[in-house]
Amino acid sequence: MTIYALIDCNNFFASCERAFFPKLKNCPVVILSNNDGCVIARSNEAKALGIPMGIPYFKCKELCKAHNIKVLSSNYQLYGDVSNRVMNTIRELSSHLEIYSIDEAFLKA
Amino acid sequence: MIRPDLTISVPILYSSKVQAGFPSPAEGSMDTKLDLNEYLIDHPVATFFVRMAGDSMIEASILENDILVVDRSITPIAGKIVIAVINGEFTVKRLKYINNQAYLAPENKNYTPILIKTSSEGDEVCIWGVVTSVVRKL
Repeated sequence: MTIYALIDCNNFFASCERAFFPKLKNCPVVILSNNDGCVIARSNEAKALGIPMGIPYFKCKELCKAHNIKVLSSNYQLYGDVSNRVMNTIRELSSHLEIYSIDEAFLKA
Repeated sequence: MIRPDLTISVPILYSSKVQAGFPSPAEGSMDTKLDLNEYLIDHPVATFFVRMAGDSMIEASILENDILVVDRSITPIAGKIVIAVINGEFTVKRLKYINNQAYLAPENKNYTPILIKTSSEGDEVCIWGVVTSVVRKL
């Protein structure tokens, strides 16, 4: 029987930002898409405050303000770099790696 | 932050030391090029470059604006120069243990070591990575 592992990074864009901006560690964080259109990543704290995935920013701007949520534009250079590091790290676990998205991969045991 | 995977120019390093006088005739076929990424970076996936700010490490020959090579996969043991995060702010210090207590010690007599408290009453401190090299243009 073949076993596959699905690897999915938690709150990936928010986690990338936190790795390099530790001040974001204990506060709710959301990341916006290109041109600050929609929310595309949320830290656990932001999820708990009820910010839905993909919501247009103008619809949750007040909620973000009210809860002092840190709102960041996306930094794809950073996320791409961290993604490469993640994939290169898990590639050491198995030679059968299928990269599925910037923060997801399948691994054949 | 500077990405280590950026291409940098490759200088040529001769494998024998430069001496006055006649060079070894066998040397010509043994020359190798020095790849600075390879030389400075043991763990590429865990290595980051940061730029030094401030003068707290001048006695360890780390000056303002130096580029520090930081390896996040190395265990920070006593004596290592580390990047620490204190209350959300990055700082470069030497990790020291004095009388069983951990300190982040500057390499500058004008500053005092910072005690890392184990209880929750103190600052929030974590070690972000270990500094393995310093890069400076002269």
